[in-house]
Amino acid sequence: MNRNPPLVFTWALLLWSGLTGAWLPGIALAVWFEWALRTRTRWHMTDKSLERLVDLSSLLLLALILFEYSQGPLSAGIFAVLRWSPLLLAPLLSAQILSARPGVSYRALFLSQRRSRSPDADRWLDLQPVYLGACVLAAGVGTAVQHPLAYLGGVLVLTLWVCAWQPRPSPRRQWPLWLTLLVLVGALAWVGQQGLSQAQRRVENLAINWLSDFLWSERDPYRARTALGDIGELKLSDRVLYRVTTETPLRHALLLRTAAYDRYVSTSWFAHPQDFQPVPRVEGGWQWSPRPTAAAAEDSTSADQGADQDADQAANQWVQIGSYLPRRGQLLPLPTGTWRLSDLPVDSLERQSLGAVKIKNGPPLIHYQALYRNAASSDRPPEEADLRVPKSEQPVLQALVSELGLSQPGITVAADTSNAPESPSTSGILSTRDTVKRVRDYFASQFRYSLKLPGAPAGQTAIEYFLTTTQRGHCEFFATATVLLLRQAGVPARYAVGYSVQEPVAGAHRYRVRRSHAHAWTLYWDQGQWHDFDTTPALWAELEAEERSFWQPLVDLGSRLWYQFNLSRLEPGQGTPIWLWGLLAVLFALLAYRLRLGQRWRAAHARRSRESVAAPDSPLAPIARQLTRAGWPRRCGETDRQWLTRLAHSRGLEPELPPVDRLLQLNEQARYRPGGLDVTARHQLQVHIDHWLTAWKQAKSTQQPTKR
Amino acid sequence: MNTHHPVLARLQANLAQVIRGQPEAIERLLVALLSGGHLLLEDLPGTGKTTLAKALARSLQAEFRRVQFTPDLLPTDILGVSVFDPGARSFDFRPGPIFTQVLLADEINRASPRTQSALLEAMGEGQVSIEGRARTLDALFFVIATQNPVEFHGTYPLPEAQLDRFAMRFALGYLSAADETAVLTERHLGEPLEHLDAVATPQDILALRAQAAEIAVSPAVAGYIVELTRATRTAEGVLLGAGLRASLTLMKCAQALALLEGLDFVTPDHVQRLAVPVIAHRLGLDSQARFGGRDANQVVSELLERLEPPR
Repeated sequence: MNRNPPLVFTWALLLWSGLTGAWLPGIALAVWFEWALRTRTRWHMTDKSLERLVDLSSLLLLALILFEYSQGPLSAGIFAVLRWSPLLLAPLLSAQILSARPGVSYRALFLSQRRSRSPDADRWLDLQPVYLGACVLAAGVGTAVQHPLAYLGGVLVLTLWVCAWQPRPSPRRQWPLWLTLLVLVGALAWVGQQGLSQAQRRVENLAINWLSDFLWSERDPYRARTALGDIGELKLSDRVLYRVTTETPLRHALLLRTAAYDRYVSTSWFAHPQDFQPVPRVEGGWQWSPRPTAAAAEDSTSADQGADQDADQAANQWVQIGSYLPRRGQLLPLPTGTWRLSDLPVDSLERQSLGAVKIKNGPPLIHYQALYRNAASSDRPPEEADLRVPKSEQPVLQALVSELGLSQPGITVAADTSNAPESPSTSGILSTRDTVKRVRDYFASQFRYSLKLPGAPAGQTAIEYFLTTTQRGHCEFFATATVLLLRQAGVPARYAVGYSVQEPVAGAHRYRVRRSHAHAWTLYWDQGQWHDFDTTPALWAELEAEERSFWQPLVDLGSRLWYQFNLSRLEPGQGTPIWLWGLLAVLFALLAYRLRLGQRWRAAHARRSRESVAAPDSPLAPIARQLTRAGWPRRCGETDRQWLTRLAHSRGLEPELPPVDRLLQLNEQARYRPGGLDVTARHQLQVHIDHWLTAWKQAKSTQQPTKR
Repeated sequence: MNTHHPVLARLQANLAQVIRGQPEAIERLLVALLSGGHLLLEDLPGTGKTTLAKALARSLQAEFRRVQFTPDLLPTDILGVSVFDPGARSFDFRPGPIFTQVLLADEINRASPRTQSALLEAMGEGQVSIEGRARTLDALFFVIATQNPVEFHGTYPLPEAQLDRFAMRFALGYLSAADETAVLTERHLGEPLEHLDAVATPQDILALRAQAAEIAVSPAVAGYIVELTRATRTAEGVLLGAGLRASLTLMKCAQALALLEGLDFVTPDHVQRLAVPVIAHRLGLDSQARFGGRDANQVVSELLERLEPPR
């Protein structure tokens, strides 16, 4: 039966185990296959059992992929699967060899072919050459780079071994085919190993760069293009970006800033190009500003946050933020006034003077804690740029300043402030705090939030059109208009972008931040610190939420489970996480269903359908029961004759079944002839059925000892 | 238990001498003959359609006529015409080729619909009405019509009503290489059709038809036939399902097949073996199914796989 060169599996398995270090399974498999090829013991295996074995191997493969993925990146998981393919294919090859089949049928291998009536589904795939190829491929994966000579040498020896062995004189010599196949597999492993990972890296980088350039422009710390003056409708995705846990329940939306900008030029905001400075690493984290004292915190309590905030809380509030980290790094969203970060295992952390914080080379998932107070003193103090208003915007803004009585006549806007950053307008009739309050009231009373982008008519700037005509817009309009209005009134102000934390989820003080929560607001300077100031109507998030699709909760649930999964798998120093056990339990349940319960259920189902279609007193009923139980059920639309004739020509049953022609004739007479069978014929039919059942039981009992 | 009928066995053997490698086609031909229906052969030129018809006529010692259908063929060319006889000073009816026992209507879809419909009454009722007078056809009257499924230029597709008159439609198909070689060798020695002897008479066939009509059909099998034809009416992609005539014909054909096999009862296997040639040509598919690559044979085969036969 064995058409392969002797010991060829042993050679291939030794090559595999030698290069991967899996000596124990390699030698065990080699011994097993040599025994299997020589023994006369046969494994009685029905088509059904073979299908179950294929299912079992598929489940093993799935479990291996999940396990490897839980230990590291997916690409490593795929290579690991290739590396262990000789082990995964071993049960199927064993079944083929021990059941003396020419291969494994397509019907068993492919789920799509299981119920097919096409003769193509009963073709065989010989697994022996496939297995040899798998061994060579597995030996090459991961090791061909470190030990190229050992690998190529091993493949060469195996090839020579195969070529040197000539079977009995045969008109069709197969060694050129073998040689070509082995060389092909070796080359594939060699090239594939190197090329795949490189190609993957390049494609990933390209995609990330492209997306960042075109979609995530607000992450640029030096430039923020706004949608001011655009036409259409603003729509951001509802993908969850950050998961936030706060110390206390939020009474107002918490603003997480990613960047701030000080120059406004034709609908875009810019920051002065200045390099990021590395932040010193301290014990357990990163810190760029000294720990604030309670007194400082008390001073810093801002006007817009209200006087009801506790001063001692303001000193050392913390927030935990979890997010996926792109490979090339990203800007961290942080509350204004953050002075220390902890639990952030990244290689480097840099901070820009306007407050943007950038990280590089970290794990794929970060979950860090930020300590902050309500105002920032570590950002660069105001300069001339923080009071500059474009000329085109000045007439409208000046009129508005006069109308609201924000600045007293005589104060020149861009004058003394660069050298006197401390509350430039306190010398006037209004303090900064009052100015801010009036601006807030102005926007709150007359403006509305809208995601529609109306565009601006010729001759008017987008801000002018917003302030004088439409009086409705999205957060970029409000933030830009507020910054420019405060500047016009003599208060240094900056434009900040980031995210608004306001959507609570189940759990203590937990929130989720979506891409559609991206927000822009204002920073103003008062009493030596920068304060957040948001004039966008508070309803904006609710308006955004109304746009969400009804299946969004399902998407959120999936996203949360995936996040939890990644959190536990990437958490260092943990034992086997609970999800792994859960997955194993699910796999085990699937296996149990497939191997035992599924069989019972199908048998029950088959019985039910038989009873409903045919009379239960059919003479063939006992035979039908036996065959169905043994995994040879009747196919849909088959008559008794077609069924038994098919089984009589089936490979697995051929020697076991007695001839059924006479049996079928008598059965058909009994069923379809008026008057049925006479007494003699009925007795004859019963004799045939008994004979068949006896022969069937005998065949089963003789097969039993070799069945595993 | 009946044995294989001697007349039918002789007929099968006789036809097999001329029609090589087509036992299934011979079986279906005899089934159509015994059921009293007519046959539509849809096949490419040169696959033995005419030979099959001639061989049958010769084996039966039956009268055989062949009509080549063309676009200018008139109904009177088939049915016959009354001609004035000046001597007798009366009209004399000259019967057309339809007054025969076995009629080969070659390339039936080339004639105009008017001429095609002239065959309708003859096939359905066994008589023709000419000049207000009904003339009965021979009791054996058996039509074998052929049509070419590939060429469509200058053809008139058979109307559904006429298709329904045919008991069966099937194709002969090409022979295997071995059978084709055997045909060449035999023809080298002379035309086998010329040496074909008659092995039965039309009276034998009429007697067998009567016998076939008595073959038992159990309620379970009759129910299966009805279920099958009814299912064609609701099958996906079917615009026009099979009617009652299809059920009746399928039953009669199954009876004939049972007789051919020497049985006195019909089994579900008989029904399944004949379902496609008996039902498929009566179905009309919608355009979506047609352009999607489905054909009527496929629809019936799928129904056979889906419906549970009686057990």
